[in-house]
Amino acid sequence: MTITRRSEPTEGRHRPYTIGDAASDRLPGSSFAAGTRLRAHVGTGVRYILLTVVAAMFLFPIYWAVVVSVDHRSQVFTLPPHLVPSFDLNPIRRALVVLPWAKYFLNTTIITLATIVSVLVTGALAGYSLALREFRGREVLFAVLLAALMVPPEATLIPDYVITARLGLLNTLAGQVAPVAANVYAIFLFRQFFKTLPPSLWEASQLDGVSWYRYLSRVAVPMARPAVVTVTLLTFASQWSAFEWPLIITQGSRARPVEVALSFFQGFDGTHWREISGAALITMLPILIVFSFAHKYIVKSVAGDTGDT
Amino acid sequence: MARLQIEGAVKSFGSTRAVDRVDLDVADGEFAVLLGPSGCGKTTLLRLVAGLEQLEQGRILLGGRDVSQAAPADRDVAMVFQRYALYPNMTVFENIAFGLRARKIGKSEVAQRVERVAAALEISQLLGRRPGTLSGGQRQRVALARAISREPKLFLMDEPLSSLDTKLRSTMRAELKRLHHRLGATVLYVTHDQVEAMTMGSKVAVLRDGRTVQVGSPSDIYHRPADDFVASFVGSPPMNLLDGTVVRAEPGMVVVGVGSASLTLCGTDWSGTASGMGVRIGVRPEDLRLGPPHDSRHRLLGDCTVEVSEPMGHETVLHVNLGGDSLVVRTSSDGLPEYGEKVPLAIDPARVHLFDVSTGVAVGAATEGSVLSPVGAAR
Repeated sequence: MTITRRSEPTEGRHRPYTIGDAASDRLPGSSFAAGTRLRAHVGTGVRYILLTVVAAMFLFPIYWAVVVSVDHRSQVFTLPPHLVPSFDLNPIRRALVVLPWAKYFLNTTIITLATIVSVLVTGALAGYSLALREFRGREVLFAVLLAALMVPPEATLIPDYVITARLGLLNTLAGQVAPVAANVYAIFLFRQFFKTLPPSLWEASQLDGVSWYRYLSRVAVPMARPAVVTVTLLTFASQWSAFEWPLIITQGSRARPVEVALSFFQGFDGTHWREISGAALITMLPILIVFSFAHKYIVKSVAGDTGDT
Repeated sequence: MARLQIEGAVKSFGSTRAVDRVDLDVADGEFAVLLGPSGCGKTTLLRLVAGLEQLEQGRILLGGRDVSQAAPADRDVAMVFQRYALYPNMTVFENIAFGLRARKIGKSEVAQRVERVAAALEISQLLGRRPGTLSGGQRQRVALARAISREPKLFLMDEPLSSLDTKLRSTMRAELKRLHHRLGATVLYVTHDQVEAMTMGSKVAVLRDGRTVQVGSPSDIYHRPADDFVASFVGSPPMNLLDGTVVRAEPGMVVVGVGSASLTLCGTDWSGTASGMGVRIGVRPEDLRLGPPHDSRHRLLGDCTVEVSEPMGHETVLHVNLGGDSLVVRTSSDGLPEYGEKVPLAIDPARVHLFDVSTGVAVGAATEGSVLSPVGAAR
């Protein structure tokens, strides 16, 4: 049995909407639907225009860096700005040759990877203890850790430097990993995630004779994949672009990361904008590559959404 | 397999005593069921046996060895959890093998055991799948397979069928029973479902407020309830309880006044009764009958009014009102009275239970030869 409403005759139902359509003007139901569709189209259009404007605002600095890096020296400071470059690749070539980039990239890669592993291990272990192990003062300890989040990083700069110096870690890769080897945010994230695991999983493991570290490594951490992804991405982003601390504790190319190497072009003889722009674009590449693959997770991480990734 | 002995087990949470001096002896190969309502301490008792909770007093012996202080892993028990507790990130094979590997069992032995137990539970085709892709019944089988593969001394099961639908639950009940016969395993099974307890257990322990109220065979629990709590908890629909008074108590016989009638009950021992004592008279729904008595066993109790009818197909459960008391009658589905109709209600006096109204404790059960007299006959 087919039920047909009077206001929606079957012959008009599948016709595409056109403004001024005589049939739809006559039928109140159809003109209402058409009006709704038109408003929806306009809404989508406005949304896309806004998104395009915002995207352009974010992309422009990158484009500007490209323009500066391949333009003639004299055209870098012209007003109105010179938006179509003249493709002089010499500054980038110079920037690539003048510094041992491979060494800097290697340093940054080692520092970033070591920090990610360290933050994951310490975060998972501490998060596990704070979530699932019973011990005296557990909640107080957690509160103290959270309070540490409120201390501005500048306040710990000098103590960190003194400790690093006393440990003999100045101008080393380890000296750049140690102060950030454990991260309260990662601990918090793992703790919250482990708390959501059904207690029966750990109990089943206990009855099976599974040790806590085997349970942690084989069950709890693999199940905390969203937390692992979030911590990895946020640590990568912050360590790859770390500048202040490496600048303070490193000299020469032995332990310097790429971000600090960029400052080489800001010398006593002024800033070499074309070279610095070219080099900045190169150092930015890994982040852009990672972002292109993992932008969905990064957005979720920053938004604090650790749901199913 | 091994014998389980629980002696004077005590466990409290704050000021609440969850398990209060519980004794229980489960023979080697026995299927024992802990039955009771929510919060009666049955799961806590099971967790004490597993070692997931620490005993405050008493001790637990498994195969004659005191395991009260042993870690869960050292007790050689396997547990099937209410919500299965399968590792979601592992395949069915890995789920079963995880505990075996932790016990340093060789790789080929692990594979053999997993395949053997999977074949026994008909889940061989699921070994490569993850728990998230399985149905409730399949997950339950995997959880069972994981427990069985360990070949433990004792199986602990915490309401393992409660998450399944009615049909699957009935299938799994039969399957668990078959499995128990085949393995000859000692099982301690927790449930609040008296159907599960009655159909599966060879021994049932009824718990209330952390204490064992009665331990016995399902038949004992049903036919000789230790108190009015067991009487009303076991059986579906539950036993009818009516308040009455002991009119006369003699050795081997007691006369009880209930409503407008009096019951002369025969039995071996009515020593717990005395004249004037308040009692609760218990009668199972199947021991009541609608219509005038047409056999030698049943006696007319009075006229009742039909209030609610629950047809089940093979039988009908009727809620009737007898002089202000609500009673439940189990009857065949033929020729049923209408709603509001007044019909005679007959009782089998030989199947009547008496409980002390102040303590709830059973003071005796009637036997053959008990009779019901009309109003005032015994007074």
